[in-house]
Amino acid sequence: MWSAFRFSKQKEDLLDMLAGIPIFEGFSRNNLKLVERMLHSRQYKKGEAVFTEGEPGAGMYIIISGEVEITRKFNHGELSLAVVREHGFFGELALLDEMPRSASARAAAETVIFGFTRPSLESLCSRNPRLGIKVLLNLSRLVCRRLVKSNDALELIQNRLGVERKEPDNREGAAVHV
Amino acid sequence: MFKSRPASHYLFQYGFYGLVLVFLAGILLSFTFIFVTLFASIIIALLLEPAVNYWETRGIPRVLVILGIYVFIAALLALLCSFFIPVFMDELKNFAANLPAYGSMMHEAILKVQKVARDKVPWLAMPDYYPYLQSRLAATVQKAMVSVPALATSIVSLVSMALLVPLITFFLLADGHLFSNNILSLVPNRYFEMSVLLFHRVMDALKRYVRGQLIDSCAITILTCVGYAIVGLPYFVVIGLVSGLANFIPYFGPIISFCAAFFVLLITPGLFSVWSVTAVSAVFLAIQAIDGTLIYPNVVGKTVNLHPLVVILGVAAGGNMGGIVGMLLAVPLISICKVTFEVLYSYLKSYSII
Repeated sequence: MWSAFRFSKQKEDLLDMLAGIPIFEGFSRNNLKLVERMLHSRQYKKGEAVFTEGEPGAGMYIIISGEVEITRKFNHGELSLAVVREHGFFGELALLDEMPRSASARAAAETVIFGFTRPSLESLCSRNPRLGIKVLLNLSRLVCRRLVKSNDALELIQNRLGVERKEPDNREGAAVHV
Repeated sequence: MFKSRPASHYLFQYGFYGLVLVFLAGILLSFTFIFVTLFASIIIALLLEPAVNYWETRGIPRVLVILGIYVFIAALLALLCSFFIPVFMDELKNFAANLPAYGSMMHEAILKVQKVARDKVPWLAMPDYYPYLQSRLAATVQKAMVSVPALATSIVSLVSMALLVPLITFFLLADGHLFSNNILSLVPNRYFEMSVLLFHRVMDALKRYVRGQLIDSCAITILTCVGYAIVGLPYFVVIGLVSGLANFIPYFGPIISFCAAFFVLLITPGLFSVWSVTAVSAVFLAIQAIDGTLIYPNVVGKTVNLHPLVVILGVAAGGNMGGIVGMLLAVPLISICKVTFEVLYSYLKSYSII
């Protein structure tokens, strides 16, 4: 019973790490404790898949220890897009939608990760709507920042290749946002 | 890339998890008491969860909210009992006091029917049914007396359940997500995401069905009490409560409700007439019309989305296997199975497992 009133150093370190995750930006200590109780702890062996490209996504993952390689299939094979290390996170777009994963994630070493799933976010929104909205706003800001970076990178590549710009497809909104 | 594993690996893996599931199912089914207690606790937790979440968003710690709700429910039950129990006991006492008269009335009614049948249809050669009914009744009473020890055991189980259910419900409300997290932690990594989504879909379907059904049953109880009180049917409180409980059983519930009202009509001296039968039938049809057009579609609606034939067969099978409890649990269990199979098939395809 008293464990409910004590908090181990390990959990304090976890809360400090969660405070550094952009989607939990601006959360108080109590808010982070509420989020910590919703996390799923998973352990992966080297080479084990966390998720595979094309499968429906359930949520995002935060690396406690180890590292995860993000890869994507292309015509000529598989390309490594990034390596996410300790205290990094990935898969956050699955918090918004059950769309298929755009890439695969595989443990590059013995890895411990915490999963924050979409159902957990929905539960957070019903139990604490202000906190849920904060997560969604932070996630939206993160996605917007990445979209701007992608636009800049696309423009750079087009300029270097001398490629003519296409008209944006307005069926699902313009491809370039300003 | 990922190494392909031999078929024997998957055979052992699926076989192991299958054995674990069969073992757990066997334990739960062998100890029906545990299964029923757990299921009842889960249902009550699902019903109270919106209220707990609402007050928690106001900044009150979850444990205090749950304790507050328990105190409120206890006070409400005490108030209802202080009002309804005297009325219910009066009606029960009247019924017990009038039982000998009801018995002789039924005897006269049976004799009347037999006389009319023998006069109008002599070739039918209708026998005297009353001695047969008497012997059947005596046999039933004797059987009931023999099963008194079993009844005592079931009363002890009921009392244990009455104590355990609030306790388990408390922990489910306070730390329900921890229980689900612990269960999901047992799932292998390969099936983790699929299991998370499947678990929440099933719980969501169950939540919507149970909450909708409870609102529907409360509405039926109130409408029945008011309707039969207006037409002057005695024991309208008892009939209202029976109707509300019976409403959990699809299709058969309204029939049980009407039978209860008709039975009271039959046994009440001087009440049985064309007018009273018409009035009771009209009230019953009006309640079913209001429920079918206004309440049920909006409250329960397509939460279950089962074909009526599936529901009828399921309820009949549930009644055959588990009596009234089986009939009550049939639709939620079928709904869980349906959602599970649909979602599981879709996700197994999406996750390239099949």
